[in-house]
Amino acid sequence: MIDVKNETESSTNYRDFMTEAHRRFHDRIVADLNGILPICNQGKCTAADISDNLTEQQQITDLMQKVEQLCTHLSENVTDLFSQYYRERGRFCGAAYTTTAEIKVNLVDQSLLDRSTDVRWWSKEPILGACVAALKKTSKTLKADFDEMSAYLEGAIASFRIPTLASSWTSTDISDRVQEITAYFPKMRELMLNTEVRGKFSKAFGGLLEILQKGDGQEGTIKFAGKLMAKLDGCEKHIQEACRQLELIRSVYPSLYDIVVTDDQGIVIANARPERRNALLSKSVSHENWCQKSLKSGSNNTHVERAELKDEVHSAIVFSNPIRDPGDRQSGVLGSIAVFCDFQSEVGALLGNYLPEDSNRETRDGWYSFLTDEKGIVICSNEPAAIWPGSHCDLPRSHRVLSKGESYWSHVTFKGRESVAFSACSSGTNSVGGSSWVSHLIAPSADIMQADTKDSRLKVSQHQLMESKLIPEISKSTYNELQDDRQAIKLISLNGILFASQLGKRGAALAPVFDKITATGDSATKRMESLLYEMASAEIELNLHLQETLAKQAVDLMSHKVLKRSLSLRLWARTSSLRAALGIQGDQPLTEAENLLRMINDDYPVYRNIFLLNNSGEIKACSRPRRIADVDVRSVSDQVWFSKAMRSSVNDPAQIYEMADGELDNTNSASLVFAQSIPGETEEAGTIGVVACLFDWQSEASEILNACLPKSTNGRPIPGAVAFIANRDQVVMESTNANLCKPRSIVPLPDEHYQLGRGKMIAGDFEYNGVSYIVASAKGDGFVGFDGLEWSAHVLRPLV
Amino acid sequence: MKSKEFSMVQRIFTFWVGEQIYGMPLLLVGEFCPSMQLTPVEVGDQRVPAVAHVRGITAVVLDMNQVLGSSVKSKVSASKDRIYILSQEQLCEEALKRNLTSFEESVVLEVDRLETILEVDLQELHPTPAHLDEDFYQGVFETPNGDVILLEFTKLIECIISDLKKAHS
Repeated sequence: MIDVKNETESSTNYRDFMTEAHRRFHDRIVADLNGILPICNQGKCTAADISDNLTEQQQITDLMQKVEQLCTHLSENVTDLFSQYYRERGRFCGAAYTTTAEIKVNLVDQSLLDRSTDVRWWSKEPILGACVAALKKTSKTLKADFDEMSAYLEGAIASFRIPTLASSWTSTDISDRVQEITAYFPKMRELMLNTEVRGKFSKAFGGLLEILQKGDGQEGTIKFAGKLMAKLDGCEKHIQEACRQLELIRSVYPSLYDIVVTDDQGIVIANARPERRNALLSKSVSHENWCQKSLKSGSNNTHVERAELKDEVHSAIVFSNPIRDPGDRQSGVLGSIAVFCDFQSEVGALLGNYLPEDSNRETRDGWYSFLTDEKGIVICSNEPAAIWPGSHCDLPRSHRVLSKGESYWSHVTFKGRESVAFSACSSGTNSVGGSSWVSHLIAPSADIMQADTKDSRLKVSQHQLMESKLIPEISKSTYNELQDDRQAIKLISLNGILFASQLGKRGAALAPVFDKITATGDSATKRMESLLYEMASAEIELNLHLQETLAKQAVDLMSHKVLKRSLSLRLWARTSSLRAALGIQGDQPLTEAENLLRMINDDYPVYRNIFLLNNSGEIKACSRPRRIADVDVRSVSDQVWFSKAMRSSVNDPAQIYEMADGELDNTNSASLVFAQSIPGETEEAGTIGVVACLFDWQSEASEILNACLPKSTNGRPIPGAVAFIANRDQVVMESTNANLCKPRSIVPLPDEHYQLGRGKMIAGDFEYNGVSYIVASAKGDGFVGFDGLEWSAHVLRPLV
Repeated sequence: MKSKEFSMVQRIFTFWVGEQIYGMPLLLVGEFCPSMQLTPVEVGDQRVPAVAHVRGITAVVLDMNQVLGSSVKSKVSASKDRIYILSQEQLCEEALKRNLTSFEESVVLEVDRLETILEVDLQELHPTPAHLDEDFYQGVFETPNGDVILLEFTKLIECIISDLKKAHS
């Protein structure tokens, strides 16, 4: 649970945030009340005029003094009313917007965790392990090989100095050529890794070998040279395969800037971006923190840090993992894999979500959302031109340094503008403990503190509104106090008029005084009441808006998770062992495929099962065979998702469908199924099968919905609030309160809450089981190219 | 314009009981009371739930919701307003001049909400609707907030006393 803190209230002058309309309102009421005071004085004077009786005079004076006291009280009350309103509004926005900041940083944390899992899985890729192992083996013997080659070539130089019949009794000096070749030998690393260097070497060496072939007794030299070149070619082949694999990964995950594989000395031996390859391969990165961390790592955990990429402007995050021997995972570290993620492009769009837009659909000026690391350095932002990744965050320390799950909001001057800053540190609930990054949301004070004056969408009476739980208790007590004051003024006036009436003609002069007091008191209190009502309506409107945002966040988070999970399938579908299992007869490839699927599932426990299906829909292998033992499913050829996946290309997004309870497993739980076609080795081979997995989205959805429940100003969930996700048939898929919104049932929300357009939101009131709720609903609009599932999220909170 | 007959123009205080506004002559009132010490009593009649202590005098409290047979709960406020009605003996000179009469003892009326004080020309009083057949309904007059039923206090008290006597006999 997030702990919301804010600056001390005494340090904030809420009068600074008053709208012009509220200022006018305040001044008019105070003027009205002040206007009663001279009337009271007039009443006291009249008392002396109309009666010589001291008791009667005292009675009138007492009444006037009571009126004066009440007016002073009301006047103080009206000033307090505005302070309370703006303070409560600040508190409410503080709780609401820090929730948005919290959701963003936790979503980023989740992305980091997902990516870390991916990197851990990629580090186990056999092609990469084989490459690192082969290069290590070659490099161990290469120096000795070069020494031996040097000796051979020294012999060749001497040999060519002796005239022979073959050389028409002339000697040849090959020392320059040999020198040219041996000059490459100290550059072992470049020869192994740099295509350009190796190309030049091969050309020069080839020329020398041609000459050597014409000499006598050079067979040994030529044979050894061939062996040496074969070793170097072997390295090149491994490097090319590794690079191709890295390119494939990058093609599936476009936000990856580059992927780098190093040997155990921190030398780059493969990368994903061909255009950087010549400059990068053979370069030492052993001094980089991420490299040292992975090479010295005793575990398989992924190290994550912010990276400086001097040749690019991106905000990069590097994920690094040790690479171990594929045949012996317990062995020492052979090398490392580092994945450079263009975090700005991946997360920038996410940070821009839920910020208000202007008429051009641009984020409203003065609203910013960005992340900082433990040192207060900006990692990424919704507007890099204004808040540059890598720069120091221009916020007080109380915002930058927060402990896990803590949040803070305060009034600040940001970019020269009076603003409110809302900050939240990741809650660190995921398995790696979270990033400790802080998410900041900056909003202009005027936008936060000044109410939207449009009419409330809730059609409730003033009384219902003032009884609502949405209205701060302090406003309710002010309202009640106001009613008491109004009644007190009325009683004094009525008694005054009664007193004047009892005096007969003598009292005639007094009656207008009390009439005036009644009228002014009534008008002032009515104005205050209408102001309270307007303030309460604004509170409700703010609640509705924020509840809509929560619903939108819930449905977006769900789409985001589903999309992220489905991406992995595109990579698995190209894995050679799965393709081999479908293409080659025999049990061995199937066993290998099953082992691979099990290994994947161990790394990604959110999948209930992963299936390898041939082109007839038969289950050839799966990661959790026990789970299908009871359901006796051997073929899925009749399933829509299978047919669609078979007809799709490996480059198409995975097919995503809802699965009925326990249809493909014995867990009796609803799942999502992701299905991706597996291409044959050649284009002509077409689609040879499908890789499919059951995604346990219920546990993910539950976490998302709980995060999107409305919270009180102290950051605690509102009692009685409930959030649920419904599918396109309006059936509840998951809910935070199974008693109120039971899964697989339909909650009878007004039609307009279900018939929403893509990406649209709506809020209103709704009575359910005898309780009045305000309800906000949002329909998903997909996520980065993924169309979504046409699900909707709904957030309810009790009104009274 | 000729001035109206003095005795025909009266100041009336008005109050809500349920969803109806009623009125009574202002000069019968000793005080409109914001708070008052009440002692619940059991007289076997819900119209008389308590006695009040005002200005050293113990006065019977009449629950006007019960008296006027309103089944509608006040829509305005859960709290009640109370009006201290003077006894005949306590009436001021001005009230006597206007031939107003009260009960022999002081009484407190408990109403849903006090409304206001109006000047009413009794000549413009309309007859009460046929269904309001009790003697204490004096007539109806119109105001911007709705029709006000004028009550004749002494007849209202007589009606209650008569009922109480019947109940005890």
